Amino acid sequence: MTISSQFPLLTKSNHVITSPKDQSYNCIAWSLKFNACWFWPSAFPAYWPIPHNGQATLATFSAMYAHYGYTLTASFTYQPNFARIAVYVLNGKITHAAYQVNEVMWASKLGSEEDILHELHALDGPTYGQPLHFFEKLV
Amino acid sequence: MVLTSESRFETNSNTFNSFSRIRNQIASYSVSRSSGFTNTINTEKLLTQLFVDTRYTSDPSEISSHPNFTLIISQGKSANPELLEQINEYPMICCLLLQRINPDNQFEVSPMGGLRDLVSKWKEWAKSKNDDF
Repeated sequence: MTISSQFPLLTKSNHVITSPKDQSYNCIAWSLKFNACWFWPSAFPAYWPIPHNGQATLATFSAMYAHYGYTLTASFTYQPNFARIAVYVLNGKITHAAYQVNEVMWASKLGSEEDILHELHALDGPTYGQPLHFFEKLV
Repeated sequence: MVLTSESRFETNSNTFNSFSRIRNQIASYSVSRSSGFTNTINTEKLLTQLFVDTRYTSDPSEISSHPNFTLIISQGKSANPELLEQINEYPMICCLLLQRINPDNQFEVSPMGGLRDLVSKWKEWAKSKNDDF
């Protein structure tokens, strides 16, 4: 299972690796810039900051991001005064999240692997699906 | 030969070290001939494949529903040494497995730094148990 088969749109020119591999945290934690815990609505050792029903639904994620001040939005155009998060969905299931860095790049933690900077759609494909939901907060 | 208390201590210490070395050699030979060694190799292979297959997922249920997860669980406590050996490399997977295999071990850790704290707790536990799995 190579990275190119998992992420066929990821190329040398549209991403850069920004950290070593680390299984101590995951993409959802990293979308909020936490790097010491594994965010998922599931039993310990996963962590979820609010009560949950164990279902990884948009409602569960919306409530979690709302806990940190984020609301759902349709916009993903870069604005320096907004922090934005993209949530990826595959076959109706939430798979991944990334935070916006600038006009072009988003920051992701690839599961247990590295952190990368990438273009929004560079991770589209059979592993994470597509970025379907966006959250934002005024900073 | 006259033994001072110091040299006697040294001799005793050397004897002890030699004895320990021989004991360890016997132990490793025994382990290499036992199914435990085979288990260790299998656990390592199963763990590596489990990691490769689930390395891009965030959902712990995808990890625990992988066939290798079930196979490692079925090894019971004999999988503990290899899981503790690999816990730095695969903290999430190893902590999930160790919790299932050793349900009596409930460590209190801070939720936000949970995984790293949990790894430390398992390592402390391993140290306290030495080879006594």
